[in-house]
Amino acid sequence: MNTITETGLLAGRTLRRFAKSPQLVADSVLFPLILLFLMLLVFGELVDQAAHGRYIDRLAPVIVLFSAAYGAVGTGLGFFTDLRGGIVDRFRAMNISRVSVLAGRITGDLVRAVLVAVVTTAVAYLAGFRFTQGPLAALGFFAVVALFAWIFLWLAVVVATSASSEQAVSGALNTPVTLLLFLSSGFVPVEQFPGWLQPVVRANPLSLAGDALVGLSSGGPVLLPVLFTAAWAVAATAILVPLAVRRFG
Amino acid sequence: MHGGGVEVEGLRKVFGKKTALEEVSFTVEPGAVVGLLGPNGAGKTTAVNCLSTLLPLDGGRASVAGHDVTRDPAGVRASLALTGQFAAVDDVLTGRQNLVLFGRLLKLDRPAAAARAEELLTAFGLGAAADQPVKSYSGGMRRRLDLAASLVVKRPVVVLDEPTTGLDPAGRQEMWDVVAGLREEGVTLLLTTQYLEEADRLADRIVLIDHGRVVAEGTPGELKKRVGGQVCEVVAEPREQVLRTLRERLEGVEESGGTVTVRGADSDTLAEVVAALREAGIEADDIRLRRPTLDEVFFALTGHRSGQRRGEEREEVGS
Amino acid sequence: MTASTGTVPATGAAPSSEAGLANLFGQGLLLAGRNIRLTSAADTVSTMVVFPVIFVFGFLALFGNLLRTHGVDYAQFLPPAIVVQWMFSVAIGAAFAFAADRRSGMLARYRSLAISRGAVVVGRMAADSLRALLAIAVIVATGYVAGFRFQAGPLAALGFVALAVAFALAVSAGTSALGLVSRDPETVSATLHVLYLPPLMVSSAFVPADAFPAWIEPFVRHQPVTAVLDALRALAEGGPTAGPVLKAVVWLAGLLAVFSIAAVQAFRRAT
Ligand SMILES: Nc1ncnc2c1ncn2[C@@H]1O[C@H](COP(=O)(O)OP(=O)(O)OP(=O)(O)O)[C@@H](O)[C@H]1O
Ligand SMILES: [Mg+2]
Repeated sequence: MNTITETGLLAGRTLRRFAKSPQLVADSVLFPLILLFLMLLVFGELVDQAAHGRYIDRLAPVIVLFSAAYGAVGTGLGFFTDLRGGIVDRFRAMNISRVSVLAGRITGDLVRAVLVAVVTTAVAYLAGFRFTQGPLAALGFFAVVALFAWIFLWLAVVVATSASSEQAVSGALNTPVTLLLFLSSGFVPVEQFPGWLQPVVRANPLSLAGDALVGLSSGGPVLLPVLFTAAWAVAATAILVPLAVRRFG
Repeated sequence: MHGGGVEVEGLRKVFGKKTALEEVSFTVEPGAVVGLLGPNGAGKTTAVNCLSTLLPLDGGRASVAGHDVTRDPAGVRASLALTGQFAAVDDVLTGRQNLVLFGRLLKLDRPAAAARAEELLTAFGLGAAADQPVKSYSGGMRRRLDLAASLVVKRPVVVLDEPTTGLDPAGRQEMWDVVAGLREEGVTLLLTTQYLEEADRLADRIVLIDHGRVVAEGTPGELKKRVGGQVCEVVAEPREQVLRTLRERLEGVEESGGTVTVRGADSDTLAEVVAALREAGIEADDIRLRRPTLDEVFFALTGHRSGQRRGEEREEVGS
Repeated sequence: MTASTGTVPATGAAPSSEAGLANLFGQGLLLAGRNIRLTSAADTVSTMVVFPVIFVFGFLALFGNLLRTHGVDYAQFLPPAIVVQWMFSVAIGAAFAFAADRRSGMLARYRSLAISRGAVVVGRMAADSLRALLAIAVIVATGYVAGFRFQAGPLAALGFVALAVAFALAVSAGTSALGLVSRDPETVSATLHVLYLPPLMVSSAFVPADAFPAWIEPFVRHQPVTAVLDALRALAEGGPTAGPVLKAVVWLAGLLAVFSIAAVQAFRRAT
């Protein structure tokens, strides 16, 4: 078997395992959606009054990104279990290369992240979220989601290969994801943050990718935020991919 | 006197639609050791839980040391020590801390609890590991600590649910020694097991249960007689010809799991088999005598195979 | 091996030896000690100290300005909400612990011992109260740094703490009922971590009730979490306290009654 076929097969395995676990599906789809509706309910009126534009236009993209980042916690846990459970060794005994194992995991979870994003946006549609920039922009929307997920998937793999326990994996991933979510321009506009925090909020990849998604769905600047998101992805690739390959290879 | 035995009469326990126990009756005489033998899901743990007041009965009655489990549960708990199916000790505490806690809960004062813990740790060969956290213990050590924890305060009746399942042969032997020690002290013992060999070694009487019902009861010798001696196992090809050849000369020839077996065998049977095969010109890969497995005891006593075979089921990894 | 021969014979204690308050509290305290020793210090520090601090400052940074434009002093408004959030977290911890004790067989073992029938519950409640007190102390201290003040005197402040702990224990009774029917602490905890969000967020916890859409405002105003929050804020800020506190206490008593029945049922069946 060549690497590409192997990767395809293993990506399929990753996806099937996800689809077969109701708890995993509920956790990665339902939780972000609950958060979406709750935030809309609690802060919708206040933010609508304080900012120009509708809260849902901004909130939905951020929840989509959050679920991509949050899904990476599942990637980390799944990969950790695989490593511990010896299945990776079994693949190796079957002469499947380690590169394929890694690539299969990343590919499968990337596809999953995009599928979850499609479901989330579909539900957000019920709450008033709209694509107004045409079909090409909508495609771009999901491409940015994949780019963003890419960063966190590699982070998850690195964490999984170096952690000592499941708790350590989820702890090491949950904390930064929660922090990034809080310190983003998703829940409230940047201007609402204290002045000294605003640069952090602006540089947060979740804010940047969020800006890009807003531009691609309801309109606004696109090019710059996309470039910045891509810069984050390139930086993450340069640092995390070699790390992951070294620890795992 | 030894403080009393166990009486179970017409015990019935239902979980929703599933009847876990039906018309289960047996007696453990004071000071006796009775083995409750049955395959996975037979109802052993359920019976034990009913006896130790963890589950309410849905019918029948049961008493421990003269205390009825329904009318006087506190009396039952004061007379019985339970060691459950899975070692229940706190992993992050040390062996000693575990034992001291149980002593204190059962109203020993601090020095008495410490003294008793020390005593048990030594008696159970855990002295060296006494102050290590339990998570560093081997399976056998855990199990012994678990048993020790239920003996902190002496009770006339001790109930052990599958004391050796999952232990390696060494751990199993250690556990058997411990049980033998208890027996010598005259403690009334009810132990459950999936292994005929274990019941044989430890118990005065065996109660065989399957699908929640008692299917046979007696001393190990009596039960074995009903199965009829040992089993002769023949590994040889071609299978059909072997079967035909042996059936011409012997009773109880069967095919099971890829081999041909002869029930009720002894050394004469073995000689007979060897002779028969030689005459037929069949070369056997292996011919041996062994004790009947639980499955075969079941088959002999109930006419059907037990639902599951003994042995650990491994969880399937991957998809 | 003479396993059980010993110098400490205590055979066949009198049947009545399980009953009595001395047993309940004595054995309950021993089990509380066990529960506390079982929780890892690192875990307690991160869940009961670090995260509450992050949440207080995080919410202030996020929503402080927004709420100021709405006329709310968020430094005074927020800490009771974070306290309530952490009382939920304590209750989820209780469910986790019960499910874990069920899985490990410890619960069955305790139930088979000749100890007070309520000792396990008292042990759990005592350990949880301690966790609750720790979280309350951390949140109030953090709030103080941000500008939160008890303005109605020490007695009201004490009432604040007592009401918060009572809330934690009432909710614990409900979550424990769930923990006691499960053997899977991780799933119980993950489920509860999602389930508690709607009652907490759709209350006056993070924004005043009038900031909600009109259709849901009546619900927000009259649900129990809001009642408890109103009482906590009254106890912190002064003004008329008797009404809100009474309303909260009635709610808690009702919830406790319902939850306890469920929890006791589950406890009796837990093997
Ligand atoms: N709490 C419960 N709810 C529903 N069914 C149960 C419950 N406990 C036991 N059962 C069922 O009752 C039957 C007897 O179970 P029990 O645990 O007593 O068997 P066992 O003989 O101890 O088996 P094992 O050797 O696997 O421990 C099984 O079919 C089991 O699935
Ligand atoms: Mg069992």
